[in-house]
Amino acid sequence: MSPRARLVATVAALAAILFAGTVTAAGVAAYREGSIRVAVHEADPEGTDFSIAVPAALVHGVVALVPDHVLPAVDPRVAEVVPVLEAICDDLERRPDFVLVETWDADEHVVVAKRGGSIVVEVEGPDGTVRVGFPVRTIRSVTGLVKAAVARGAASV
Amino acid sequence: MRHAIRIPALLVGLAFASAASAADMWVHVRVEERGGERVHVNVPIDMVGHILPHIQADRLRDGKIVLEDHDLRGTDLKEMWTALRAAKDGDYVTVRGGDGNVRVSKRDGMMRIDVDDPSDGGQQVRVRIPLRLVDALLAPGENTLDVAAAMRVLAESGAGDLVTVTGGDESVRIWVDDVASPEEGASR
Repeated sequence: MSPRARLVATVAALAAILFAGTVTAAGVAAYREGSIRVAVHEADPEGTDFSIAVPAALVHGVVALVPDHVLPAVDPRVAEVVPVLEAICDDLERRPDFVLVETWDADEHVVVAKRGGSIVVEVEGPDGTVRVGFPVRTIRSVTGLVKAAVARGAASV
Repeated sequence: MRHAIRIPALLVGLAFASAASAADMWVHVRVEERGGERVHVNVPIDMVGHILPHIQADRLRDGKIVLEDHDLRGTDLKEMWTALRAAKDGDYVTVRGGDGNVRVSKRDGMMRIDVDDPSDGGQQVRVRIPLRLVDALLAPGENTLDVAAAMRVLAESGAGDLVTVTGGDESVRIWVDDVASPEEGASR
């Protein structure tokens, strides 16, 4: 193999390793962060039937990239909610799965639960089923954004 | 009588759930109408214990409910409780009538309220509140109810029923134990 071919092969191998590493890291991050999931299934055969799963890591990345100066100025009183949300996240993150609320009536069955690091809300009724799930870490990310917005609101007063 | 029982029962359950620190204890609320609506709530006491100090609302601050002027004054309440606490075990209120029987008593470290209402499908209400819980709630000092302290005591008191309503069209049970979701999966 000529020195030039060897160089090209080495660069290609490095690029392949970098690509594979990036993909693996992104996969691991996406797996660890979980997904924001929304699924709607209408009982009507011609009704809506869709399911979407957005990697929460993507949301966290976007949240991290939002510059403070583009955030709206939020009333500082909202700040009172932030520590409550943070305390909820702290507790939920370390707590095993559980059902918080479950209701049944003649038509509907509603569940609010923590499952696998996510808060899950499920509504089953005669018209169909709606399932929404979002990782607890996403709440924390958004809470951070609210915190920054509150700080901006306080600064503007 | 349904709503008269359901709302206080839920409030009592949520109030009990609203602060405590003993790990892995849960307050469960079950409200079930015969052949109708069912509501199950499972609240980790420890979780609420973490959250409560962070809530700074108008009348709930640092885990304490502030009694305002138009409420029963906290000092009066505390004096009444001190007198009751010092009294011997026994029945304090007994009402017998066509509409039902009511008995309020103190026994075995518990405040007990028993209501039997034959007019409402033979409904029975049983409330059992540990005395130590009320002691903590009415801790001496300011004009406040120390919910956080009361809940710590509740969690330390161990498993047991707090409120049960049976016999009518609706049953209610509020209890404490160390199981997260007693019926999870059973209903699916």
